[in-house]
Amino acid sequence: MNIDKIIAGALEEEFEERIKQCSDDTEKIRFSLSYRLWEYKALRNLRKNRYNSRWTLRRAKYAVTAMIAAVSLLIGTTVYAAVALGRYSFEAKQEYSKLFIDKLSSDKTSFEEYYGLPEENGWELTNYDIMKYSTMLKYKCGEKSVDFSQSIIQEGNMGNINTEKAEIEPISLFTENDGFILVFSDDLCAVYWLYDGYLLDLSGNITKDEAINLAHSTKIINF
Amino acid sequence: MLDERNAELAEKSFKAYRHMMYKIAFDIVHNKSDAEDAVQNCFMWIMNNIEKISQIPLDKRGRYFAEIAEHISINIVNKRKKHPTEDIDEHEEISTGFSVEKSYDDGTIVEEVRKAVDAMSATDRSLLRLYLFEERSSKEIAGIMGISEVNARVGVFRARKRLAKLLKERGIDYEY
Repeated sequence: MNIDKIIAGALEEEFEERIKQCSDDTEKIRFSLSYRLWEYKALRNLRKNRYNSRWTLRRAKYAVTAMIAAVSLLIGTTVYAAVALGRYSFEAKQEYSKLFIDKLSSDKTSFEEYYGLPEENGWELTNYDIMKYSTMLKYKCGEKSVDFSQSIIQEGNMGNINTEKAEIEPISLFTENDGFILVFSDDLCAVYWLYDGYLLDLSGNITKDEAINLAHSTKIINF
Repeated sequence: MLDERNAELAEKSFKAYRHMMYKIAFDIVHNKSDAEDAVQNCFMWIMNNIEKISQIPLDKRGRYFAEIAEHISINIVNKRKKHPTEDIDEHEEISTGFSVEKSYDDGTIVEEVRKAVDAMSATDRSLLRLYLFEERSSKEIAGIMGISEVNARVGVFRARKRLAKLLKERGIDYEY
């Protein structure tokens, strides 16, 4: 018996088994982003007869690293989108977004009148709170409820409004671009608008049309 | 530049065997990044040897790509080592001749040899397979493994030495 032949046979058998295992293994390999970029470009170049041996996985890694660094830098600081919506600007951040109401000024330093919703439309005032610079009124109509607020415009601390997960749209209620609506879902909306030197807003489980109609119907109320 | 037929063959071959090549590479290099490097090097190998590949029968290509992946992966491992095989003493002699303990029957010997082979490193297995099974010369092994001829000879010697040790642990004695 030739031991070298036995060893050769065992080596070959082991190798064939390993190939079979690797070929039969159907577990999907999750290649890295760099690899996928490299492969995509390498095969595309090959198809276009532009194969370039200088396009390597290492280069793809550099490209992906640079891309990730750039995105991280952008997100890590602040993406200032500065989308002008009427008299507002929109600042988008990674975790949340907010609207700034800039360049607002008003001669109203205290409430001269109070605004609210017309109860004849079925909205019943269930609770309210009158503070120095803002009011909070709670209305209910069947299953629907609305929070209505009136605020004195103060420079520097106005308009940080959370807009996370909302679609924002400027609207014109009483004058051109005097407000905007935040649509969070089909039945969850908020409207902010400027009226008579105040900032008014309402929000609740109402549709976009209902929110605009309610804003239009705002009237002076007495407590 | 490849002609259209060869470019198509290169792409098809690569796509058909890249997962298998990755798995073979991963078994040797033991990390994802190096395994991906190995697959990339396999692609380059395919590009540079497409004429040769086109002449290999379809049923033999899988094995061919597996061998390429294995050799490339071993190269990566060698390059990663702090002390690559270049520091091998060139004056070591390769002995030949093995003897098997008489008390074993053929079946037991085959079984024990297989166990010893399974316990070998991928590099040693590859070197010995080239040397014993494919009966390649040191020069050919050197070319395939990307090492010097001396290192190939010494590598084979050391692989046999380590195998002998593994076999001895299993009750099979060798003289070398």
